[in-house]
Amino acid sequence: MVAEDIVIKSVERKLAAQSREIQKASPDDPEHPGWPAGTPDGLGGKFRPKEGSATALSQKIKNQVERRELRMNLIAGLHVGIGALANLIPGAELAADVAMLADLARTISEYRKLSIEAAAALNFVQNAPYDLQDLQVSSDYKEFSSYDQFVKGRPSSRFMSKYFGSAGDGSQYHHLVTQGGANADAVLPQLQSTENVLILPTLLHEVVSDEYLGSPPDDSGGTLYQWLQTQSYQIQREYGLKILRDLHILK
Amino acid sequence: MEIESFVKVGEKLSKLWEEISGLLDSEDHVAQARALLRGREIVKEFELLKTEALAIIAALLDDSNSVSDDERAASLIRGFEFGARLADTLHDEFRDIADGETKVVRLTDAIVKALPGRIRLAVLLDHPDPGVRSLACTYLIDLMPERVISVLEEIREKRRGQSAGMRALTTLFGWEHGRVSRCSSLAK
Repeated sequence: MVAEDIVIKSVERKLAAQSREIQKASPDDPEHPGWPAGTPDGLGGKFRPKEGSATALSQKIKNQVERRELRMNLIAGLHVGIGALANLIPGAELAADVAMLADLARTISEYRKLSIEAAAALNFVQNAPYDLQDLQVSSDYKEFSSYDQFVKGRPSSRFMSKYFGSAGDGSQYHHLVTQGGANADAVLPQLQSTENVLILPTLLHEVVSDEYLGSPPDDSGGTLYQWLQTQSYQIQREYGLKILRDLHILK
Repeated sequence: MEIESFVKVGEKLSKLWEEISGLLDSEDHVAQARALLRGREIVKEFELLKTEALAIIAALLDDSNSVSDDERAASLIRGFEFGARLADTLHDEFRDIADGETKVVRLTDAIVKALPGRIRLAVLLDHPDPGVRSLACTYLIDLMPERVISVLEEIREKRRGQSAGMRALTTLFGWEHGRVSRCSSLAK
């Protein structure tokens, strides 16, 4: 009986502990965060990823990429005359014409490309963070005298046994230390090197580049991009790595 | 004006993205045209909200009706809080950085200059919104570095990838490499 009591009490304790552990998801509870009531796709009341977790970060970046691109494309689309598309809708006075359909087809085709690029960015983010080497074009250190050289190479140079070509469909080269502005005229031999140039999905590259357009830490009135270029190569590189880490791209 | 209005517009954009994605291979040109037209309206709504929000802060800066320094300071600090939340929303919901967040931060620069004593911003170091705390820190780091650095380090750790975290990163980085702050010229 004594042994049985001990077993029963142990099970009771375990059940009590379990019931304490069962928590309801709440939109305002940082430990057990939940989607608020009314969230689309039946998510209301269910658990959502914890703030700062890799999943939450991936979801945030996915939303930001999509919204940014959609907004930019819609703004760009305004000049093509999206307004005229109203004519395609039944009930409108004017009939749709061939030019209008062509405009629509072109716009939809741009969105199709965007959709593929967004999927590539999402796929990349879901497998992030990466080691720096994973994003470099080569593990061997090589310097080039210009970006053009980095991409196209110069067969006559003995240092140029190969060149890297384009970054590939849906990808772009990203410079940890930025290559334009004041850096373009500075003596920075590492600028166009395998250490400084990484490959990122196009849309993610745009998101990273956006960060450099934010405010600098001082009140010089320029951008972060301009402020960084007043710093040494090593400091610029350190910041470039930090941004990628904060965006959950690098480990 | 509520910042949540922007969040709702962001949600509309996300829904529209899903809808357009589902129509990309469709031959239903009417549905495609409708979706694009709706997109145009959403973008217009966003731009109008942004213009209105920036105008609210600008008007606050022009307001000289407050009778005492304390009243003026209280009004400017409320404007600062609003600006911080607006800047973060534009960054985090839309990635509207160059034309959105940066413009707002220039206005908060002006608010700080108009404040009768920027140390008054210290009340915001305990603000529940990490974005408001981190923006206040950018103007206070040279006045009270120890306190501000600990606030920023916590925000940086917990808000990675978001506006508040990025701002904490940049502020700490500038302090570490040159002791600069958003009030460097004021300090001189």
